[in-house]
Amino acid sequence: MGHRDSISNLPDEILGKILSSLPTKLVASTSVLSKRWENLFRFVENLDFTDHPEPEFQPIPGHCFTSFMVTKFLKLIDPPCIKKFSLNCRYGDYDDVHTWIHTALERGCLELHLQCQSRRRSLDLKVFSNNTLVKLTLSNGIFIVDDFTLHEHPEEAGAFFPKLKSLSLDGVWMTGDFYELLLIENCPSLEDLNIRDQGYPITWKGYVSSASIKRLLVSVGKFEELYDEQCRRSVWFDAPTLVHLDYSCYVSSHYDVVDLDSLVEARLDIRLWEPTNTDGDSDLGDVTHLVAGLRNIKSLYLSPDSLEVFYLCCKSMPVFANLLRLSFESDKERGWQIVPLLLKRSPNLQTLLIKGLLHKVTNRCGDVCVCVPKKRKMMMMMEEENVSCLSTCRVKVLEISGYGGTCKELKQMRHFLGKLKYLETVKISLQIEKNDNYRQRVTNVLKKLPRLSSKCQIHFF
Amino acid sequence: MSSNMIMLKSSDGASFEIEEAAARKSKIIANMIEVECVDEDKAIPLQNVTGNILALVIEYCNKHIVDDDDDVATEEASEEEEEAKKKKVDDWEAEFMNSMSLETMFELLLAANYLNIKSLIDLVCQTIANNIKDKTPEEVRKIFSIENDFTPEEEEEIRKENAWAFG
Repeated sequence: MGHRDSISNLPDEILGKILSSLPTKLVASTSVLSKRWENLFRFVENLDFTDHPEPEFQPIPGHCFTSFMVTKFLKLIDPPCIKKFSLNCRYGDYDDVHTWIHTALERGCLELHLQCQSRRRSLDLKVFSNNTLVKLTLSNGIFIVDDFTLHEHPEEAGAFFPKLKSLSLDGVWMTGDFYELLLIENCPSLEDLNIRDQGYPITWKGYVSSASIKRLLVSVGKFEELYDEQCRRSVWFDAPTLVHLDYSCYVSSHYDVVDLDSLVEARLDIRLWEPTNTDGDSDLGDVTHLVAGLRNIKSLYLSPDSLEVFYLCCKSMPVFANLLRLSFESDKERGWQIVPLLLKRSPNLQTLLIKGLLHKVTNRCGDVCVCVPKKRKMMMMMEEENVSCLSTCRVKVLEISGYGGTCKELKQMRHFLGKLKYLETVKISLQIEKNDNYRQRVTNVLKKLPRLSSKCQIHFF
Repeated sequence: MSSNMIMLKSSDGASFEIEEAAARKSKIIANMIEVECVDEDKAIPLQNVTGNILALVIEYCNKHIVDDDDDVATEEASEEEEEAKKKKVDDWEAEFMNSMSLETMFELLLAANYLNIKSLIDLVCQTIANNIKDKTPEEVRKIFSIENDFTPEEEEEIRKENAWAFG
């Protein structure tokens, strides 16, 4: 092969595109390849910077990362637009950070990901004045102090994001109750909002109010003791255009404003604060308004904890007239008490997905059986109780995953197949190795179960 | 109707017939169609693309036209189906890129750029970038036959300026 340096003959913009899919640090190292490559850095559209600690022995004066940013990034004259700018600062000063963000935004940056662990100073939202951002992620220890000018004149304070479609706040420390609310309201085009907390600091204050948002993810871990009280308080979901909700959090005391009229799909993992006391003492939380707000949904997923929360913390259950697909997960420590009511209130349900059939045997399974302490009797009662809700249930597709083939599971399957009269398809995903003989036995037994619906077909996976 | 056929002519005079829907992957050709400067029975001359490269471009466009249609039609498709489909396309793309030399890749990239086919530009750029990834400058020079025209002093100076990258 004749050796030619063809790559270097490609136009600047194309080489810039190639370099844009590489880590920026590597791009910077390509400047030594040859004179052709020395100044291609300016054409790179996606930049990601992670700073370095100050070296003990400094070969050149100044912080080697900072000096790179000053001599290479800031000094470019009339550079082309950048698409994506990621900055991860663990050692830097916010003064520098502000300058770099400002420069990125001036270059028409569309996507900004910011991660700063230095909590010495607050990020000044003024840096965001005149931005064209479409996507913004603030994560990992960014600190924003309530700036009161934002309340009066949000645009002056710079926190106005006319084009922002996606906002992620991940462990962002914000002071002031309504700060986050205002921030979200100042994104008139916002469609995706992700809020994640790993306990401390707290990003999620419980308010979401947006007239444009379509997808919302809230994922909050366990708070430190000190903050429990604060976080139990009221939650607002004022999001009439929201289509998809993914909510993973401890149950709040109240859900005050719930406007979720456009909601189509919800995934809920709502957890109880302390080990369940079924007598329902003082403040378990109350999801009644939240559940009422879900009335238009087509698809609902509930975690094992959510089943209990729906049972213990919901005073009334609406009719889910549009609900076609219900999916829930079982846990040996969590009961199914709410399932009969859920099925009754879902008159048009087509598909039922259950991950694992083994659940906690409770003595209040639903609203029919009360206090049957003996296990054996319990199972019988459960079956009886299920008769009432299953016989009216219009489910056509039943999908069971994680089927292990135990006696209890088989009984439950016998029950489903014997009582669901509209069943057409049953998909069972077995938790047994494909070459295990036991698998054959389990499937044979299942195939022989009497089926109420003559159309019913069983498939194994 | 997507069965409209269009003729394309390469710089070395080879003619290719392609479905209009596939040709529309190129923004330049799509624009020509929009403003109706495409004569039914006349081939569109592509001055900057040779026949062997144009054949690759057409192969790519034909493969991807179906996928784009499906995206719109099957909104309800299950996640697994989506994933399986994506994997199929990814596998095809990997195989497609694997079959050509670096030299061909550069020509294909220039053609994709000229014809403005964004997804193909991205694919080729990513493939070339993968050849640079995790390599030292010396290795990169070798792979692409890049001649180092710096004096040792000049190179040392650049390494200092970019000390962050070599840290």
